[in-house]
Amino acid sequence: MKFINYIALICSVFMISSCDSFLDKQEDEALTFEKIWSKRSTVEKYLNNVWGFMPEESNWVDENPWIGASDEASVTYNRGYRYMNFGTWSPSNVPYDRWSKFYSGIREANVFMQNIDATTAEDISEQERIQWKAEARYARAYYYFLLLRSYGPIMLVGDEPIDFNQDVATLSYMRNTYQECADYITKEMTECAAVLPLEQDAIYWGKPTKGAALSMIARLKLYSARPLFNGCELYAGIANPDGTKLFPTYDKNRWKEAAEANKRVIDLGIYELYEDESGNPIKSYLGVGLKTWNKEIIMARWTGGYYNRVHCTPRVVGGAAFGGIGPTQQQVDAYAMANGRYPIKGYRNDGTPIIDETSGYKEDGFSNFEHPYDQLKDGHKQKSTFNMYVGREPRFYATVLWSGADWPYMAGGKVPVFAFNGNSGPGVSHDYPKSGYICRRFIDGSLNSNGGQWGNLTFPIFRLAEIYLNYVEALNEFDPTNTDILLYLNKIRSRAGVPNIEEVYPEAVNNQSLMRELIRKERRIELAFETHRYFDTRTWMIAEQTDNGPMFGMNTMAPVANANTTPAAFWQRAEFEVRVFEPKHYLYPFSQRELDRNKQLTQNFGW
Amino acid sequence: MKNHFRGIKWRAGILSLALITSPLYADAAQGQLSIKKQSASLKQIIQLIEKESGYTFFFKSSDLDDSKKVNIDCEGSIEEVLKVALKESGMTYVIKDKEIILKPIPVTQNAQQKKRIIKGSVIDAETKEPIIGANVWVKETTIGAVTDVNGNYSLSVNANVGLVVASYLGYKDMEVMAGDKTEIQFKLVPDAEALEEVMVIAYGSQKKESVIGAISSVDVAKLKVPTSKISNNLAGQLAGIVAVTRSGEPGSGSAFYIRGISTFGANKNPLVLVDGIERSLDLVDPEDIASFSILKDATATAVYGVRGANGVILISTRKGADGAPRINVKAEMGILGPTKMPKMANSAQFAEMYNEASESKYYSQDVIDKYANGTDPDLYPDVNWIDELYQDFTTNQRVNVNISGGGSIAKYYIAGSIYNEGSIFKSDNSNDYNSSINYNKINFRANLDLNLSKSTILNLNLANVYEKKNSPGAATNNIWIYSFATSPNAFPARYSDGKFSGPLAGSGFNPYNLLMQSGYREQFWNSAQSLIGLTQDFSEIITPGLKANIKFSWDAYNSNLITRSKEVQQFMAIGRDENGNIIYNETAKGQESLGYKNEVYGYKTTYLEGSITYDRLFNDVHRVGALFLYNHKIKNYTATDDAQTSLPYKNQGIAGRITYSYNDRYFIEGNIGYNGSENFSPGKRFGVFPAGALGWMVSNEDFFQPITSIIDLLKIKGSYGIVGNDQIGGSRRFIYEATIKQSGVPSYQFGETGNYNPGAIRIGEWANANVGWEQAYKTNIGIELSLFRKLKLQGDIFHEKREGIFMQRGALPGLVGLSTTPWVNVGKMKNQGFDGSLEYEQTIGDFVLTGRGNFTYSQSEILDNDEPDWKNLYQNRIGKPYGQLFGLEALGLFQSQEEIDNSPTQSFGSVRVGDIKYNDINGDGLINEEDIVAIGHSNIPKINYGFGGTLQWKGIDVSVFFQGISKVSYFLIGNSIYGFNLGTLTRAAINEDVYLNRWTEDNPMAKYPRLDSKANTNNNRNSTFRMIDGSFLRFKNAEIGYTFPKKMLTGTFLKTVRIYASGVNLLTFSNFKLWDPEQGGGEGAGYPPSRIFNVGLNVNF
Repeated sequence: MKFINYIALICSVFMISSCDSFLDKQEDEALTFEKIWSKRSTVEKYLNNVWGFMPEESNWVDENPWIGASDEASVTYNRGYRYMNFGTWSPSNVPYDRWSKFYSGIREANVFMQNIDATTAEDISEQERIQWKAEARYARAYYYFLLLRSYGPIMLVGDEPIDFNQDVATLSYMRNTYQECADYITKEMTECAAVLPLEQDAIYWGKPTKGAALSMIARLKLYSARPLFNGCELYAGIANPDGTKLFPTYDKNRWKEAAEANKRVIDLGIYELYEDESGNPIKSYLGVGLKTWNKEIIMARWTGGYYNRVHCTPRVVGGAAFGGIGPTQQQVDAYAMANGRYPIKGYRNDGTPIIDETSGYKEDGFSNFEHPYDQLKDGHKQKSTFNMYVGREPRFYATVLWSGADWPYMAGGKVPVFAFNGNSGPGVSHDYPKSGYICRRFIDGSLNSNGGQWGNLTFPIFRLAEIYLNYVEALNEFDPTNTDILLYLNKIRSRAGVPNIEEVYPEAVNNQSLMRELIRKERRIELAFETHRYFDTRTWMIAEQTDNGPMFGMNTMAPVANANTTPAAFWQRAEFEVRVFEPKHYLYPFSQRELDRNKQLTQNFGW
Repeated sequence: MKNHFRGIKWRAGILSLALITSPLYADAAQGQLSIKKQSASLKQIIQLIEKESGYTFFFKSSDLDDSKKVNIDCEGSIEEVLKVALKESGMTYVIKDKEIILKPIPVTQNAQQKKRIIKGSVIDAETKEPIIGANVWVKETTIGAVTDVNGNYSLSVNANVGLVVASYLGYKDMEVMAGDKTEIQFKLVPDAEALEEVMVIAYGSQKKESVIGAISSVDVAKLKVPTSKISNNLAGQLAGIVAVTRSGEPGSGSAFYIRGISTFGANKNPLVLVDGIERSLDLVDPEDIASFSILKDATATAVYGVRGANGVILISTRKGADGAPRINVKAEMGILGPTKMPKMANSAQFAEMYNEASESKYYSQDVIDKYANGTDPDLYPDVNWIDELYQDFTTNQRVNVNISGGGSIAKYYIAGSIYNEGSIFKSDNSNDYNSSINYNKINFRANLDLNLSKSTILNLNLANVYEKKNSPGAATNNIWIYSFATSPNAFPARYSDGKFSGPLAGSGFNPYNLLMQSGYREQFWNSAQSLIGLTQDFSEIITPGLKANIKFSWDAYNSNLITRSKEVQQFMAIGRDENGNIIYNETAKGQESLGYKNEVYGYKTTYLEGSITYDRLFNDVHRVGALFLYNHKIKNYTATDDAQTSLPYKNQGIAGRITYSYNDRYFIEGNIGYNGSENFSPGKRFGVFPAGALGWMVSNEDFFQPITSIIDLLKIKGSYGIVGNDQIGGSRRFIYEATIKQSGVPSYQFGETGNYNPGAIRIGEWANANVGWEQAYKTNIGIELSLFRKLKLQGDIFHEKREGIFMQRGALPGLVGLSTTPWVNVGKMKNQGFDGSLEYEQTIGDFVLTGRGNFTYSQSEILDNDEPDWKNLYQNRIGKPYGQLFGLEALGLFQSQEEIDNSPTQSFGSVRVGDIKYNDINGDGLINEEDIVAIGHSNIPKINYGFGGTLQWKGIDVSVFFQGISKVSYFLIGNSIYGFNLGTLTRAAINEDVYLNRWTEDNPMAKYPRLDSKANTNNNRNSTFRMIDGSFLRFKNAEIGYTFPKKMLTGTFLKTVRIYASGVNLLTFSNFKLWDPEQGGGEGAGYPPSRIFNVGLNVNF
């Protein structure tokens, strides 16, 4: 009897004590969402999380297609920009689709802004609280801009994080109009500019400033004035299910707004074009990208140099060297001669260049030539050089590395050869530049990558030269005789070591269309490899000419006799691929995944 | 009084243990007694004394010879009365307070030394045939013998002997009081109950004929295949098991599912219970298994409630049986080799392919000749890396010893085994450490059953597993990858002057160095499993058929991995100087000494269970059974990386069952599980899981009797019920709470030198207060049939609908902006199919022939994965089986530029003649992601089957077993299939089959597309062109044995001796020839399954 009692007792004890409490989680004082807002350190972490969705613009291989899918370069690897270049992307295959990522950033910013005011952390001052909130606001508006530039008008989701437990149907949003989006970003950035400091403390460099917020408005206003977003016929019919037209009609006044917005940044007066102490224009121009936090930078992101540099280092250098990012022949052709004349006026149907004979440019033969960069080093030496590269303007030498030119690392002594079976060319490896050139703009010649030195970059997001170029472009459209055009254009040219524009092309003064062309050329060269070109060709709506058709380089398929010597057959223009650009490609498609889920979403033109 | 007396007997059991340790003393008794009785047994006298005196007696009833009747008439103190009463009983007494303890008078030294012989024979009471191999032993001693071929035995015993017992399987034990007898004849009566097959079911066992749930069990001998893990032996053995062995690496197990996969949630695996405790299947030594069953339908698994949805595997380990110690020794050794190894193209073929792919003369004819004739292996190597690294065979050894026996107090089963398996990895003997894989396992188990009283059993199961594995310093999967990737001409395994070779930093490794020059790893696992249980039978105390059990287990598992790895100094030959000496480039500096790294893992588990069972037959027709059970479990991981996984994992539940059968014709059963899971919100943790079943034994009906000579058994059964699955989040715990994510959140660097980075934080997983378990609605309809008492058939049709599958929302648009997609219970899936088995037995003269087969077919369908319709409905995952492969439909290879020009544009990359041509499914003129459709099957086979047979003739036995899978597809994916895919020439080994069957202008209808010198993004896509049929039929197992005749063993201490030879994975029949199809798709870069040849010796003492 006792035994059965015992069992009954045990069982009943378990029954009573059981049910829920046995299964309760052992208390472990885990960090909770509420606790985040009670400590300075966790609040700072949350703010940093808001910023964690920022794209790494210097990583042209894995983070963005802006270099690989623009006419300034070819990136060799098998990534999404191939689909873009060959016109085979589609809503079911959207390369570098950052839609969800940026909306996540927007949501996190909303969460931060909703909670920061109620923070109970005592060691956050009122001033910091206001500023941190503005930093989150800046990030949110910037994410909207990043969406806008790729997709066109998108949805503005407000300040409250969206309740995802709602019925799925209520999570369908219609697109806002372009004007609403642009106005919203402008308004938000204006509010940020009112709160953010002119300059952050050195330990916070890289956080947004008043200048960054104003620059954001300045670029947005410029884009808004350009043809794609200013009365574009292609997109005139794109409307929401309720009939709202999403794209604005033409308004010339937008150019004026753009000019004013850019002038506001210039008028801050705290930025200046970077010039090297030596005054050497190559060093000055290289310094823009390599001197961290130089005075020209308005906004930049601190990043390790590895991801950019490893893809721009030819294999011959050794170590980690995947050298696959090369300027196209079109980009090479775009650089002026040292005298300021642009050598290539255009192309014939067969792709051969129309050469401006007055420029002094030659495309055959070789000269003994000393690379201007070498003059910066101790060992001067002349090399037999293809005439195409002789006598060009300084920014050419800072940007383009051709086959047979010395690798800039001083103690390196390596000479890449991009021909077939050459030490850095096709044949045994897929790691080679298809165009036969390498981009060297962000290579710090004082660092040896083979020894593991990659350096750091403050890759420019906004810099003064861009603002100047924005400004003169806008001025030229609504006030072509404004003297500021020559003033600011020549500031850039002067830093770059090229003659003033009116000295080279006097006929362009007060000639709006010629000046437009020259401003665009200047922009292409000055801002090369800063991820502008992709958006410039699209907002100018010239991509059907620039990104459609054969892309040229040198003849990398010419076999070498010796892996370290470029063969003669290499020195001719050769088509390395044919790109396809259709009108629908001006804007990204919305992914089919998103369309399936958001029934109110209107697809972009042509997709 | 009656009950009181029973209580005494029970308590006496406890006290007889206590007496051993407590000091004895006698207390003078008070008062006078008068006892008078004619022809009374001792028990009656004791009852009388108890009644008169108020004293309580304690004794072991087996000590008391109650058969003698005496007359008693005495008066006096209690001591005086006892003296008279016990005069001739052979008992003495101790008085303590009001208790009297009786015990036998110790046997004198003198009497013990006198030996004598008892002999006789054991025969079948009905047939009078001698019984060979019956156990005869003196109870409570180790003195015993086994009958010979004539049924005779002989025991050497002491002069004073109690009971002698004879036992044989299938007969009732017979006990005879030896007294001074010198000859005892035993006539054993067949035991109908013992012969009746019993099946292990959830929390108990049931007569096989009353089982109406879907349960399969397997003859344990079938699982004793010479491999290290039992999970590798399951495939094809039971109806309903789907097992997949992807790797043959020593010590690795297999994935297995019951009736296929019914959920796309996190946990698809069945619950495995060893002796009722949740334990890993592979921790059990196959030799120790007494029964192995799988529970498949709702009624069989409902008692496991929230944990039973994926089916349950029940294993019970062996127990001791009455009798003298039986010692079984089994020793085996074998050789193992890979079933099939892929073959790579050699250097000359490789060079030829590259020249063709790159349309160049990169390799000149001179170089190709040097590869072919091998004159300069340093500069022009031709390495077959697979031969270089892997040997053709290795060996294994196993010794297993077990001893079992028992008496009325205790039964025991004690077993130990040692297993050792080498690997096909070669080792460099010049190193003073072994870098090859070597796996050792030592198992120990002791299962004890102590009868504390006639109705009380204390059960103690202790097991210990000690595993050790030595392996190379480099990760084995890297060794496989690089041995498959490294080009034959990349470099020699080692230069002829002894220098180690290796590629440039960052471009791979030399697999020879990885295997033999990278140091070693030593992994050690230690597992201890302990279980104590107490069962009380209340049949004679409360009511017949009532039992209670309490069970407690504590298990621990620990593993420790020590990695001592290094890299050697390596060189690359770049040419020869004018003297012909090799010029080297140092490619890796290497390390001088072995590094050290230690990783640990482990857990500890406690489990408590209390149950009450009832089983009784009323009026010979009404059989009633019931179960009520409570259990809980706590598991802790002892070495975790984060706080949350270190918190205890808990389960708790109640289970109940009621069964009723009428006249063994109609059966009804109800099962219920009520249990909870810590994963869910307080208040929402517990759920009820009911199931019911009906059965009809048609063959027991009167009207059926005329045809029972043809159909001797026919049973129809059906069940329906709900079972749950609470392990829905994989590693996700406490789903009702949100988590905060800190590591892995991308952050942003600020500051002049970029060193301001506070880290980042956000909500990781969203809280979901409404989350619950997956629910499985299971239906099963089955039939059991036996024909001519020879052929047994069993078949079940099953249907399962799984609801509430825990999954990430698929319907949320991106603009909601969630960094982590929330998890909810919204998924639905269906799984249905058929499983059946067949057994056959026939005796023809001296031949005994058996056959068996089983078949499982399961087809799943995703009903809801929270995805809206795809643009092209044919791309919906909803409506397709789980794991369905998707890819492009290939139309062949392009044979001309004209054909390319006239075909839809293929968007994956430029296309040339010899590339794969795809079908434009949606007809939009563009081949892209929208043309991807469901192709082939899933990589989990839909059909699993096995069949085999045995033949016995006199001492010879032969068995064969085949196993197969069907309706399974894989993709061939990998650089050795694609060719030059990485764009490097050192890691570009290509399967020889590609060399032989690639597209060229001369071979237009080729098996592989044209070779490209770089990644070909058009051809290297999943498509029907790259898909293979993974079906195979395998001659899985064969064994031939010879048992020596008893006559030869007469006069020795041996009872039986059997020698045997066996083989595993002897032949594989498949359309796929490149490697073992069971390894699946990819490129076959992994440890292949082993073919094993074994010889063994099995001896019983």
